[in-house]
Amino acid sequence: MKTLLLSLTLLSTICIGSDYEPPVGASGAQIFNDACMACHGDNGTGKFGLFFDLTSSTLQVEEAKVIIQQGGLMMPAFPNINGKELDALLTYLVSLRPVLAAKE
Amino acid sequence: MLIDKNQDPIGTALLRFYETQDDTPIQVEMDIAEEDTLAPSYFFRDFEQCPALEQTALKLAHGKVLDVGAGAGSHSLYLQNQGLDVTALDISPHSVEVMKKRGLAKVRLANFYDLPQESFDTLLLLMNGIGLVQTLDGFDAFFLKARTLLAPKGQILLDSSDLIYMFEQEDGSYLIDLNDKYHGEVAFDLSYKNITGQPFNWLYVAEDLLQDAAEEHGFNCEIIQQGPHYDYLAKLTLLDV
Repeated sequence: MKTLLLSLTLLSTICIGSDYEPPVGASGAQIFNDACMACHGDNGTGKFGLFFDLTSSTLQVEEAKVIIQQGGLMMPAFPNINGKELDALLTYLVSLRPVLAAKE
Repeated sequence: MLIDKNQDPIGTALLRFYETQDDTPIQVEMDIAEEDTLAPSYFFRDFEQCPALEQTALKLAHGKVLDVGAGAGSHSLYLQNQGLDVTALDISPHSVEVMKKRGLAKVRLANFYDLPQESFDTLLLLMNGIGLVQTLDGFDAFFLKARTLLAPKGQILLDSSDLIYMFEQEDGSYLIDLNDKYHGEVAFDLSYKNITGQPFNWLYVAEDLLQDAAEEHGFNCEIIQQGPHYDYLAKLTLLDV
């Protein structure tokens, strides 16, 4: 298991890039459905509320932006999501946090 | 075994959310991944908010239903509102309190393995409720118990997921120590605010291993639906009826 965890840690610096490119003017929901939903679940709730759940994320928008573009521990980077499409996606992601969003 | 009231992070979080809408996440430590969080609000989903696999399972549930590990009781509430005779079961005292407050007619604070013999048409184990077997070896006790709780033509509906994707490498291969435990046997440690639970194991099982275990114990296992990402819904029925 130590080997595994070490490998996972190393992965945090060796992120896989995705060549996904959203259509110009795509909505946040559309980008989420195309690029994010497979791993993050139908409504960003991950699997069984765990494993890549986004709805209980406390990340600031700027932090989320960096992870989307540069990748995370297990998440590939999405360098082609940027500009207006990235903003639309970030707005959509925040809207998936029902209570946290309501407080903001 | 039941959960101690003072060591019940999930139940406490559910009760708190129900009473005050406080959605402070439950902190989740696992041995296979980084720390994660679980939002109490996720347990209070209505039918439309349920993942597609859960919606299918709820539509397939019929007759007298036992919702095993019912949590906040959202699935049970839906079924009760559909007119089904549903019993919501949980080992968490605070979760049971939430379910009673939400208006569920039949709520039991009990361990699945301690239930007396009864005849249910549907055993419902959603949100990976089958994790209660803890390890692949745990299927022996589970299927023995399930036989005592199922009507002859009864069904078990469960969703789970192969966690193999958690071990995927950059080149698409998987790094797994085959001498270690099965990769879906996850050790959990939960806490909520200042409440820490007892560590426990929870199983996430791949389709083929579930099918093998079911057949070995005299059950047919049909994969009803696959989710978008290594997850699936299965229906298990007794073979010898």
